Amino acid sequence: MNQYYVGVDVGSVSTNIVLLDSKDNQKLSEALYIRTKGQPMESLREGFKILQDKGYSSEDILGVGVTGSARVLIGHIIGADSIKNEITAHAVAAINRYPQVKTVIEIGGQDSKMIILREGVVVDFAMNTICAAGTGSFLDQQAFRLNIPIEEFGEFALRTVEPVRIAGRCTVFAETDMVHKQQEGATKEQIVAGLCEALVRNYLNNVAKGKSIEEPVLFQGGVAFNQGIKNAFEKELGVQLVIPDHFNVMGALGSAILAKEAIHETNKPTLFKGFEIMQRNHLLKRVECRDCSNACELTEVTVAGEIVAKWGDRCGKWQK
Amino acid sequence: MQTKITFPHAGEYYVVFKDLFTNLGYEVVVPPSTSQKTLDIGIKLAPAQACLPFKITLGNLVQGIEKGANLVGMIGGKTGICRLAYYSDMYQKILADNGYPVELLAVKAKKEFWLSVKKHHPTLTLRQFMQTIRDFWRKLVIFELIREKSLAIRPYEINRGDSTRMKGRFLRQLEQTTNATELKALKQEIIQGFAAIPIDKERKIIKLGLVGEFFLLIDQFSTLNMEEFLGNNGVLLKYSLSFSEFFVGSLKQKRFLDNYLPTHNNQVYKYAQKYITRPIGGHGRESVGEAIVFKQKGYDGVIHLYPFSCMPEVVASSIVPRVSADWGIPILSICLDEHTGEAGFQTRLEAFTDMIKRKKYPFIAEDE
Repeated sequence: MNQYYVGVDVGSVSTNIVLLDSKDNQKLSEALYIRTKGQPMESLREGFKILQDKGYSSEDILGVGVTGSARVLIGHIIGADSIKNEITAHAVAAINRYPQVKTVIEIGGQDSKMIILREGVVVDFAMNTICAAGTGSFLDQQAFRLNIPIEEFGEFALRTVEPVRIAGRCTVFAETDMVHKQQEGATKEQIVAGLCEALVRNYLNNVAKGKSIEEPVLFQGGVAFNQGIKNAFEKELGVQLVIPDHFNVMGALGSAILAKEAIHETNKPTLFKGFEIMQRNHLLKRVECRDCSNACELTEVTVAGEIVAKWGDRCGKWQK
Repeated sequence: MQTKITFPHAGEYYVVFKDLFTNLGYEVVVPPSTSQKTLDIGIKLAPAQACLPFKITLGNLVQGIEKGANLVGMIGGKTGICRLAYYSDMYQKILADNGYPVELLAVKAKKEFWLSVKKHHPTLTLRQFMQTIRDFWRKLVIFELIREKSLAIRPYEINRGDSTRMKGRFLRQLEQTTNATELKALKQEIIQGFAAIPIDKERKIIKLGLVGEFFLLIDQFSTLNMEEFLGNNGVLLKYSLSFSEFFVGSLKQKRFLDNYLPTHNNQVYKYAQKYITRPIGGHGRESVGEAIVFKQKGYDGVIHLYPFSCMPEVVASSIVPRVSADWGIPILSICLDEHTGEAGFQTRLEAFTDMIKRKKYPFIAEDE
């Protein structure tokens, strides 16, 4: 009988779920990539349904880890053993896949990160600031505008050797620039290639900011699917980028490993409430705690009239 | 007309300032606790390019004035070589433009402060004034003791929230305390109270130093309750600067001594010398130097906080990566502004603490 650790990464663009074999840290039994479409709960329900349909049972789950922008919400609802930020999750996954990795470039839907590692330990990291110009969402939008399916975006970029120069500093300017270049007669391919280069420049200016990029460099996150970006990075940096086999679910893989660590550390059974929990209807409500002058704003989750989770308090008394 | 004074909240420091003004003979109006509403007022009235501390303090003042104050106590007045020097003029102008004509009282360790107070209260003697300052100082020291104790205990506490509750209780007690004897007794009570909190000494914690812009170091609203968030995540925090040090540091005599004697600041400047050779306003030079001092004292990392558009700290933030590389100390620079979302802020803090923890306690990372 196989047992598993579940890793869930609920991001702005995709919700990823992996099942990690409890005996083998290298073996992913399942890796799901589901579009979030603005509804993290819905997408997770869909994911859990797929797992159930494939015959996985909640009893075989030894631990659950959650990461991504909706991690706190989802973590409380499904009962996670580890709720961790994306940087730690991605770093752990990268070390798992390539123990000798020195740089991780991760570009996701709404944020992009760079993680610097030495001898399997994170020594520095950076995240994009407020602007989304260097992220997947930007590419998504532009692909939509150019009427190219996002999956083919990268191929378009490869079909030209002469990308046009597009201002990458800001999404709004980039768009103005694109329209202008189109009017001047640039082809779709040239524009797409130009966009890829703009995104890479933006990433290097805003995220990497002069950090020393040493090989091996791992490129992960949904955008790693895009060959155009990979080429643009390699051209700009002069190094080879390695794309791990599970590049788009690395965050989920990392959180599965973190869940395993958490379980080993505490030596307690998992808090997981089972795949079935998502089939029920969850009602979310914001309430104010009036027990002291802090007046914390709490998030309350009710299922069939019963409160199943409550958090957001500073003193911690509702989180038990 | 009776003068009613209000002043910026400055975290929980209002407890001590309220006392200072009361003892100087003013009627005091404490503005409501800093909230989103405070910030909204500040954003509306302040120039868009002004820094977060300015917006928050301006909001505080408006809320105080709406409660009936007609005099504004401002820390610093027209001193300093960052934009702080303009703040008193800007407050006055902005407040007047919006229908709140108020007078300003510059609170600082200078003769000017005594003269302004004397103008309001002609019967006040210099002796009384000095006594009030002494009492204020005693209270300030106790206040900072409470704060420091809560920071030192929080990462170890077994029942989450113990140290926060204890801090709240003692702050209320401090607010009621008036004389030196009571204050002495309270000090003992504080030491015993915090020592009685059940702790887990074995917990794997890390020690982080905080440097950066002064207001952000004392105000928990603008840093989204970072103190508690980090404390609950097993981080022992230490601020590089407190209000008492801020006041002492502004004395000319102290600055003179720092140039020649091996004082703390002298060390700080010495370390900063390689990167910043002269004062650049605010605490820009200190941020760089203090980060290195934290490293020398064995801290695991440093968090550098600065408000968006703060000139001295922007300079410091561009030097910080070099300091980090030269001295081998992880430094996280965080820029705070009115739009800072809690989630993004906490993600960075958590990732930073994880990074240091996993380095310091590598066995956590092992599988079996």
